Amino acid sequence: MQGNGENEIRIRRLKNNIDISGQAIMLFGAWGVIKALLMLYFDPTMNDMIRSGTEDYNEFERRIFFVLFTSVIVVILVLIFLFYYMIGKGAVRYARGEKKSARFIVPAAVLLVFEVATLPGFFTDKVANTLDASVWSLLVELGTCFMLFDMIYSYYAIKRISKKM
Amino acid sequence: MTKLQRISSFLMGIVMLGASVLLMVDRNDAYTIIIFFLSLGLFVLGAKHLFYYITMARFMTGGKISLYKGLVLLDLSFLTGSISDIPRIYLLIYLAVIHGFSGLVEVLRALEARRYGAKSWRLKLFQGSLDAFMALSCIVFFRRPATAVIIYSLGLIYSAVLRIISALRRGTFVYIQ
Repeated sequence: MQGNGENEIRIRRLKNNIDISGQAIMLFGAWGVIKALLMLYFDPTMNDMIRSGTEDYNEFERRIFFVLFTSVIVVILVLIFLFYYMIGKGAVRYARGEKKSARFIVPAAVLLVFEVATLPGFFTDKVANTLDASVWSLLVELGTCFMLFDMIYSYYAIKRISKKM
Repeated sequence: MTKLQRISSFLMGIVMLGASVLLMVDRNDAYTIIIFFLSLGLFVLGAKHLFYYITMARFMTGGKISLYKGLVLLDLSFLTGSISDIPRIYLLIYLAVIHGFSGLVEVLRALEARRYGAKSWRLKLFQGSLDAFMALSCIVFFRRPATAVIIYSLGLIYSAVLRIISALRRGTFVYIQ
């Protein structure tokens, strides 16, 4: 990978694309988890939803419900973050040549499909009143889709160019 | 310090003084105003990243990270701006933790400066550890919001004054000879 031919330069650029996208995926994963926590505990509509769901119970039961709810949420969020982290770390290590295998590509594709599938949810009325409906959240989602697409595209472009060489 | 750094440090000191006085005098509106400025600052930072991406980093290898950072910062600024009914003590602790963290960084920098043989490390160490101590006592007085507010305001005033002094002082630290 030391040459300066046309193909080598293109491969280096594409690998850098994968590297940057991997770092950004880790950043977005961390940010998504923090945002979900903030929204759950500080967003008034969410609080009302939780409160109205537990109206029939007494204080003690409500507290137990709250603890259970919180622990389930935390576990789910940690799992989501680990998923993002796995993709990001795999991509970075692949791009820097520390690892030959590219196992990050399948989870990345799964995540891309998932993200694209949830995009229409931004335009329905149901979420229009919560914080998540802001335009910038939509832009962040679009950014995630773009970087995942970039990652996958770069991977296959590298494969194609290496085959030609 | 360059001239621009001096000016921005001076202005920052003035803003901090104003914020601390506001916190002590008018407890109800101060939080709203501080949240507003916090989200405004984050917005400007995010917009700067995006602007840098559009004008320059677009053509650089690896410049896309600046686009992604800008997006996250903008999202953070809008979220900060739209959160309105946090219990105030949480907000104060959030601010105090930021303050304490910068104090901790200052302590580390002072220790580094000592290793390089700079003269002004004692003042820096004192300032940093005082900031960290202030944040800690804010968290200790968690149950008494009024006390915590006063402690935080005093810490803010102290570091604002030091900031203004260091902006006006003639720099003697020569990095490169």
